[in-house]
Amino acid sequence: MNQTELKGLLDKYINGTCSKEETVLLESWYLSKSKQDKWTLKDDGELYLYKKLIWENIQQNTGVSQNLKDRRSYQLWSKILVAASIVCVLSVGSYYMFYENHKEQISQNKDVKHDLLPGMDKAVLVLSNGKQISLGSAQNGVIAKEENTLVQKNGSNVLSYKESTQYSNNKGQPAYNTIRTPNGGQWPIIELPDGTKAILDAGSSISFPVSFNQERKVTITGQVYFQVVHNSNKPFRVAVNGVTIEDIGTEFNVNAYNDEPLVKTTLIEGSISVVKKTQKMVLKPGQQAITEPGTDRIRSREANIEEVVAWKNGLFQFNHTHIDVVMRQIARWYDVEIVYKDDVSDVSFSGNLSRNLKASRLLEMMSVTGLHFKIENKKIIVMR
Amino acid sequence: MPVQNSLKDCELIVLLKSGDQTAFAEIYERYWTVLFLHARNLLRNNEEAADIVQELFTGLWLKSKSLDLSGSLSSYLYKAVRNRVFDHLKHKKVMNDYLKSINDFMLEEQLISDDLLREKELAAIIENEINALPEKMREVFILSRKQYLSYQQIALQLNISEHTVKSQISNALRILRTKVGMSAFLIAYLMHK
Repeated sequence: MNQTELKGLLDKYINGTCSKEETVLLESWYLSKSKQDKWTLKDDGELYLYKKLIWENIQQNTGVSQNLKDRRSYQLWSKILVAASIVCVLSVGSYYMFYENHKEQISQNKDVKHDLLPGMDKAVLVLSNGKQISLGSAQNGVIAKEENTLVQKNGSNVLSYKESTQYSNNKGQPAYNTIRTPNGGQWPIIELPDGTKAILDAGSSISFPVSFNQERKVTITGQVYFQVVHNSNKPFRVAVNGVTIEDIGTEFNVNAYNDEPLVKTTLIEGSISVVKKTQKMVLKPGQQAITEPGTDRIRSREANIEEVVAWKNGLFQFNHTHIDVVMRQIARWYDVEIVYKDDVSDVSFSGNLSRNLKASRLLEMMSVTGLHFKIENKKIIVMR
Repeated sequence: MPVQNSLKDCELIVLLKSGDQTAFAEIYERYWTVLFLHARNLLRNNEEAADIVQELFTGLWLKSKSLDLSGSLSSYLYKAVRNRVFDHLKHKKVMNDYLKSINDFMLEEQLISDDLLREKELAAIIENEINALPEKMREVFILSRKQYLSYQQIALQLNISEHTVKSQISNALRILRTKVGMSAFLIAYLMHK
């Protein structure tokens, strides 16, 4: 049978104009194909995600407003049934279940529904004179002037440093600026004086001179993604946690949170070298350099680039990630504290989740790990 | 809604045909996993399988009134997913994999001429898809079904008869359906205060 013949056969089947023999053939073949080696599912998280996504699309296409059940809903239901003799109370309870978006915690007081909003563009710029400017609420346009550099903010939250070539001012130390993101914040793009772009994740900071005349050197904490402008005469240096990363023109990601044991520098494109005291390692694209406190040793490994840069693409990506690493990322993004009621050291999670979800929805997707989560003010409680 | 879980498929069909959204959601909850796993096993692609399941349920809702569901809900769904997989294959630009498969199959002559037998086998295969899940997921799937209280359990807890529970709930549903417009808005306002 060739492609045309098979397509013709399928056509007839779908139209209901197949002969008995043709039906037997197609359906028997379908059965044998269905029995083939199972394409097993590795990611529990992914399955739950598909369930939600498919339902959302169904809702869109049909106009159905019903939401999928929250596993805990039966507790609320039985409490409401106690007052079942009053039909209107029952309808109110049913309405709550049918149309309300369930939060993870069903509050005893039934007053404020606790949920957490995801992180957003929030950062503070500290000028050389110590003055602080909140970037999220700053007006567009020039927001500061440092020596002969103009600091500008534009509509898409890009903060740019433009050095004016009018006055060449070479006296002594250049002024330093620092941009800091709190937990629950991030800054999409900072354009440094040479055009290099830096993207800041939550709970991070970058310090740099307002003029790159003498050298291109910045200091960071937390997680920053760099797109460095090529200049072989003036390598771009990043100082972080006792490590120096040197780069000529390229893209790389640095993950160096204080509450994470390792500093991870991942090269996406180009070439960089990572130096710690006496040790130096040159990376190739796709490689990650790992350093830890207490030793100068630098380890390298192949990195999952997608996973490393997922954060700047607005995603959480986890690959059999230990639950406490997952929860630390969530803590930074939602600006919360994590409290563990049980020992969950054997639990890991895999999946892709949007960072733009309210915490309750994200935790709903994570319940597939078998763990239970409760949001209480600025805390997430993790239990078995 | 926990009580919907103990409704039989044929009861859900009746509710679905009357435009009941919770019954529709319950059907989705019961069948989406096995249908999705089945479709993805055949197509070896998550996104395509997701599209098929989505189209299937969308069609189920939009055409519910005119559907002949006199057989069983499950056999309808299993045939529907097979039809959509065939339809999907029909539209493929390149189907070498499937051509080889069917040509090999024809050589081996494993035809099953009994219609009913084919239908039963299809059901067995699809229902078995749950075994393709990783263990933790499978446990969660099975456990979530056990957690929902049946009419019986609620009745016991509240010291009323099962019949009372059933009729109170269907009354509430009926009232809700008719009053949804205005009161839903009012209720929403009250709940949010």
